[in-house]
Amino acid sequence: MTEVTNLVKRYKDLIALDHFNLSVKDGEIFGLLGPNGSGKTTAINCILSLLKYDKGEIYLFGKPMTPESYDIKQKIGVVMQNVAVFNELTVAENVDYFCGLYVGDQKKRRELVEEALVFTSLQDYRKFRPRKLSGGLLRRLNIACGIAHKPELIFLDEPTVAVDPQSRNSILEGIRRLNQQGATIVYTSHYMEEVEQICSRIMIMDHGHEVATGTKEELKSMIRTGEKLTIEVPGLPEALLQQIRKLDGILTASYDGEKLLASCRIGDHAIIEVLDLLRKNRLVLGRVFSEPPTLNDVFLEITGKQLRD
Amino acid sequence: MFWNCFSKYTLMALRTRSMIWWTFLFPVCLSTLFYFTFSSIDATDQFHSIPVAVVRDQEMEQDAVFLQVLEAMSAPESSTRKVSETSDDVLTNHSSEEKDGLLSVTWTASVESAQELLESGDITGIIRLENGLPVLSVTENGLNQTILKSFLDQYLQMRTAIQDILAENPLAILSASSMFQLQEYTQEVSISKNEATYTVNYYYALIAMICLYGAFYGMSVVSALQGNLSPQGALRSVSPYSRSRQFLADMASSIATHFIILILVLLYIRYVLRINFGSSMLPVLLVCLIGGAVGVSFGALITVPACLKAGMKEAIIVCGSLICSFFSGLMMSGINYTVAQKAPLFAMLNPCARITDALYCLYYYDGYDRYFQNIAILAVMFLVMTSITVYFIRRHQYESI
Repeated sequence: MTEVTNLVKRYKDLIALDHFNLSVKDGEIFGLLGPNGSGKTTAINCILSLLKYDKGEIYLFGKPMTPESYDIKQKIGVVMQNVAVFNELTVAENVDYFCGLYVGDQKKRRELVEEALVFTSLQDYRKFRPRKLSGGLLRRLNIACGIAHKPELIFLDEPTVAVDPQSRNSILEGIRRLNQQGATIVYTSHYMEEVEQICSRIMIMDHGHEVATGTKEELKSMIRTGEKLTIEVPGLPEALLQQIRKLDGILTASYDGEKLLASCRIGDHAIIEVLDLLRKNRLVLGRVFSEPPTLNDVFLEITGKQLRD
Repeated sequence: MFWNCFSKYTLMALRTRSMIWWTFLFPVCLSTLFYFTFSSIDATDQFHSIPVAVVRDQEMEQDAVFLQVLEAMSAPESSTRKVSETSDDVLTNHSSEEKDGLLSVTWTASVESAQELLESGDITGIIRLENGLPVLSVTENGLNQTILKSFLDQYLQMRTAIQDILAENPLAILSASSMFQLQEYTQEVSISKNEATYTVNYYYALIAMICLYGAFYGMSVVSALQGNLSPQGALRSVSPYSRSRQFLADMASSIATHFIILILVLLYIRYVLRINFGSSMLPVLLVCLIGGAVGVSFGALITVPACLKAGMKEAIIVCGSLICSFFSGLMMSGINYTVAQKAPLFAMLNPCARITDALYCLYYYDGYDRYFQNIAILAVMFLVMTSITVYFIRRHQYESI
């Protein structure tokens, strides 16, 4: 459905996209994950033919994407990173306006607008002006404007920025429903939890190129780090810490603020051995946590830096 | 889709308070201010009959010639007026201002009652006869007092000349009579049914300024359409409805909205303030339509370069509008004619000057040649500016957003 090959985009001396490749399959929710400035939005804007690019090929629905590809644009929906609505129009008028750029038939448009308002739970706010809406409602309006015409391919560029957790969950739930209704979704974010939550495949980006691509399980299997242990244990002797480090399956272990932090090798579960060792030395244990590796760990191990740097 | 863009954009324009202020409320306030200012200026400029008291005592009654002269100077049809006695020795007020006589005479029976009127400020001076000679009494110096003195001096000079001729050679008076008639060797012919006045120019320049304030609508059109200027523009750019069509729909909406607002201001100036725009309003509307379109296209053109910040673009529009309005006579009467003489090219390319001139042509000239010349120049300006804007808007992809 979406094929991008060797895309290069320069802003003077800065290379924003460096031989970027992307392949999105029909019906999936594809996540573009990367820190701010990694090139996610630039990639989307190039794909949409908003930005000029220096090199590369972009195919949508099997056809090359150009600014005049109006037949392709008819099937695309875009939710911009910045809220793109008119403050002088009401919620319903805004959705109607943007839907009207795709759908000429007024009767059909009225139905689509109504569906979009219900879909984003904005039906009670239809006569409100955007400046009277909260941040979360405004984001929902932004989504309603982008998807009202029922596109087959939807680009969502960080749609949950500056949104409270409740509204964020509502937005993510909506995106899932859009996908269930048949839309293919390209979703960009720098929030790994969101991407993990809804995306079927994920590309991690940094410095304008692909770091890794796959399902979240595939991505996590690419690194050495497995589960991470946090054990509250007061008065852990240095000698015992050294013993823990030597256990099979333990990658790293440290002791900080009466907490033992240990990371295991992928596939290994060393929690039983660690707990046995602590008990044998008659130490009093507090709470014990075990976490699977996150995409941040993947990013950290591949690039050497945190995802949110 | 065109109607969707057109109708929604019209709604947006009508709901933008700043636009309504600058294009409607501000001009209405300014025109009202003009009205009150220029009414008093007009009143000052108008000649009013000089109020004077004439003591109609026995001596005055015996000088029939002087009485006739006074009556003739006070009003053309004074001889038909009746004289009736009133209380307080004031016999009657013979003339009225609307008759445009030199004098507005109040006949009094005594010097004392005339003196009372002079002291109360109701009259400028007192005319009475003393030993057969007219005497003028005034309490202040001024233009009206000087006119009264000149009038009496001229009367005395002519009377003495006639008396001398009659004494020396009575028959010569027949041939000398023409000597006392004032001859005019030039004839004043009006080329228009309307009087030439500079005050209407202020209102015309004001309308020109409103036309150019349409630039704010043009600015909004391009800002909301360009992906590198607003997120709305970016979203509209990825839609299947082409940007040129969206631009034309928005421009049509802006010109129509601005035109409706111009009509409202025009109606206020024409029918509430009663400013003359010539015989027909249709050509005036045409000037407003094309002038407004020039304003909108001017704003659109200024907004195209992404390198300029929005504040800078607004500043250019405001300064440009004010400079053009200034040189079309909004703040200083007659400067448009000076500019037309000293810098004819600038005057020709100044849209405000062209709009003002077109409106003045409708008011003053009977023919339409110069009016259509102005309309043609404005139409060319609109086409050139819109074409340049469309050319740059059609650039589909941006270097950066």
